[in-house]
Amino acid sequence: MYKELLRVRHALMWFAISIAVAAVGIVIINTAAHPAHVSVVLDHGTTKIPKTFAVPWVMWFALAAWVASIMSTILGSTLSQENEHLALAWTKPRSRTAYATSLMLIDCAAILITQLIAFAVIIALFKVLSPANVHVTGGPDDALNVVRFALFPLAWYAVIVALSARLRNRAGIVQGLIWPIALGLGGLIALPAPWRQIFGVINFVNPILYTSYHSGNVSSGVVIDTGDTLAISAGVGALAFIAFIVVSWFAATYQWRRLEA
Amino acid sequence: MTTGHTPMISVHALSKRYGANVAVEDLSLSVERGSIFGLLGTNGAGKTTTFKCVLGLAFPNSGDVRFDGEPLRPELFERIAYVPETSALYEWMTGVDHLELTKRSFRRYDAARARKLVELFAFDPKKKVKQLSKGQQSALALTMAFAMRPEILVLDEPSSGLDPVHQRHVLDLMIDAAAGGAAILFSSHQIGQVERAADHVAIMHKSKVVLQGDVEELRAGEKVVEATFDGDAPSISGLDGDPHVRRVMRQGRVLRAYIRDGGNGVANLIGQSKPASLRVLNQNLEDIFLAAVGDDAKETMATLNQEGV
Repeated sequence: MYKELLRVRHALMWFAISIAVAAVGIVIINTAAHPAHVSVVLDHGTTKIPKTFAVPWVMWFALAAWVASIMSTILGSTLSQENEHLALAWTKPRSRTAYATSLMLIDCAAILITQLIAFAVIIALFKVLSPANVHVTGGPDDALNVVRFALFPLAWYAVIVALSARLRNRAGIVQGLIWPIALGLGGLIALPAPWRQIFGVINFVNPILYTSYHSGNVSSGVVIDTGDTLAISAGVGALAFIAFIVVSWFAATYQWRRLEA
Repeated sequence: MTTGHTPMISVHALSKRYGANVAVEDLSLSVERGSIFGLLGTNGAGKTTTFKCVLGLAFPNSGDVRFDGEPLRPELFERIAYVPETSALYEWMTGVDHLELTKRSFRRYDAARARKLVELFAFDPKKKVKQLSKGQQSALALTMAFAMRPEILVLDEPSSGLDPVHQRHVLDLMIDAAAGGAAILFSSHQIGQVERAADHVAIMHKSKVVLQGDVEELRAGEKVVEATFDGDAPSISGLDGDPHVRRVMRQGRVLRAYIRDGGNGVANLIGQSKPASLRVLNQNLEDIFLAAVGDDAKETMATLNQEGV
């Protein structure tokens, strides 16, 4: 556990630096651009007409989940990395299952912390940058959506751990390919029938499918538009992520404990 | 149930295959409390695989392994220390981090002893592992192992990369641990080290144990008649068929006959071929090892002689 605590501390430190730099960059760019106003050319000159819209706060939490999923991707190599050190890891007075579980629990805690930091930074940025006419609202199923978006980065992490648990020094393949594959698969839903239905079914094993979020005329902007036929409710999404986590945890642990040093 | 006669490490009929390749075949050995057991073998003989199977790091196809009479379970690692042949340390972590990791993992960890061992091996624990030399990494792994005062030590090439001074420290630590009641199973390519430290040895060759026993008894069991000739060592009529001669090795100008008894008769027989020098020696472990691994060693030595090495 101590090793994983060090690893996670290191990752969180770099995340904090990165998000701080990104936040400062966003503030600088937005201060210069004033994006909250739209220029409309009228007959008598140029006038700025403020946009007025409501943003469900859960959308910011969803955005934080996507930021946290980057951390999930980084930490997802945990068991794979351990494969170079099995002689050390497996000669401790703990079972392999307990050892793997402790690693994953520490990583999950780090991912949740990442999401909370990201959420706080996003809210702070919103407060600093948004004009008075943009206001935050609640949305339907807020509590369920919070659960769903808290589970998404964990499910993403669990899937990566499961896919890379047997690999030695090659977790990067999974970490590098899972994003384009998942996003690409999600994008294929936009194809016309019958492909839409076919890829719709295939995408049921794609965690990204379950991040779809709509509230009124606002979507999180990072979701896949699954349309009416593949609409995922917050509750279904949360349950799907729980299923991903449980199945991936079993798959990862089962594979890993059967390796040979 | 634990009794005074239960070996601390007991391996019975252990076999391990990788596909069609047999890595270890029908290996049995036992290491008593306070004993140092040396495992010798040529490269690829199966020593490391044996250690891995013993510690559950590889799954044997058959066989039984017990520690102090009990099958291996995770809790037993509180009493067992393992130093692998190749470093399993985390390159991005420092020596201090590794010692902290050991401290948090093992209740038996002795911080004061760890500090002494760091001083003994003279490496900088604040450096990251990737900044340490191979020998210093070995020293760190040994420090972690000995700092927890284990009852059972499994050391795979523990002196690898260490300078002669620190190699000697390792031997002293092993002897000291055994004197304190620990059971030690170790391997080394350096036969001299094994001879100095081990009271029991097993010699592995091509996946099998070809010889094992008490070192002193093995050494006393045979003698070597060594003759040096002016030219290539000749074939001596009757020598190979002599019932006292276990085997004959010819390496360039040197002829060695390994004999069970009747050394004088064999020496007289060889003496009739007018060697430049002739002597009867007690076997050392190297002689025993070379005799045990047989033709391969003979071929290796012959090749080395031809190449003038």
